[in-house]
Amino acid sequence: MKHADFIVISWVLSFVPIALYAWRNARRARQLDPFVDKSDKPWT
Amino acid sequence: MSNATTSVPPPTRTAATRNLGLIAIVGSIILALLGLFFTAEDVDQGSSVRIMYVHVPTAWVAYLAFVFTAVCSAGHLWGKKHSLNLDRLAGASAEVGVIFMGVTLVTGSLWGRLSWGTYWQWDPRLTTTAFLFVTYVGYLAVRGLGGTQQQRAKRSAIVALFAVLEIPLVHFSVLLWRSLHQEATVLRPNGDVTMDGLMLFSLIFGVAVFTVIFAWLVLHRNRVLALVDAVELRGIDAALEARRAEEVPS
Repeated sequence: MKHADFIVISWVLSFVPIALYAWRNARRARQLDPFVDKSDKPWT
Repeated sequence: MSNATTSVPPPTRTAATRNLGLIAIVGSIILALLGLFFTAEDVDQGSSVRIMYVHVPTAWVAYLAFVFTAVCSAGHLWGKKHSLNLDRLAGASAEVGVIFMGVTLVTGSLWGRLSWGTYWQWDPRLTTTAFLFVTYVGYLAVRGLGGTQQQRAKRSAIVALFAVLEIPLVHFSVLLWRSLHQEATVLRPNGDVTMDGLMLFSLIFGVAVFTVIFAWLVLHRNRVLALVDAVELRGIDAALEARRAEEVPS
């Protein structure tokens, strides 16, 4: 691998896990939503 | 999952989280421009110093996440209400901290390959960081053990209060032992910072961006955990109702 590849891979590997975690959280929230009511979501 | 479902905003979204998310995305783009294009190369390390702008901020924000976990855990244990929300905040913060610490280890490994010629060395800083990462993976495993929500909160809070004691060991490992890893450039004991102005600004900006990302993720995750707990309680209530109905003599 070239020098620049290490740098680009480092940056990509920094943000991809964060994006995947955020996406997984949003999906889980949508899955749970039908089983709760408004009182379970005081932030709304 | 259908497109119609995925296009619906998650129920954990509010104006605050939407704004935080926007700031995080814009900040990340600016950070990438600064780190990859506008900052100068290092005199000794050349362009590999560009890894620093993600490696160091994720490490610092992971420390912050673990300290926040400990503070919330203490609040749960010694607070009058033994708040489960504080417990969920502690859990959410630890999850995000583990992700950031994992990123630190991976980016550090790639940087090490460029600087030292190897991906891994059993160096004091690297070893203590890996140990910290494994400790918090263990903390998350403890959270997943059975029992009531109060039992989960109490036992994981105790683990968190012990686990946070590792952070000073990790930070000062480069001073305590002979280490391949460089000593602190910014948080030096004598307060002397020897770094180019734009490089230092980009580094501090990176810390700010990852702190916003941390806050955004923790807010969402805390709400998801609240939904999980609510569904679990409803399941228990439904099971109790069913059992009571069975016990009624016919």
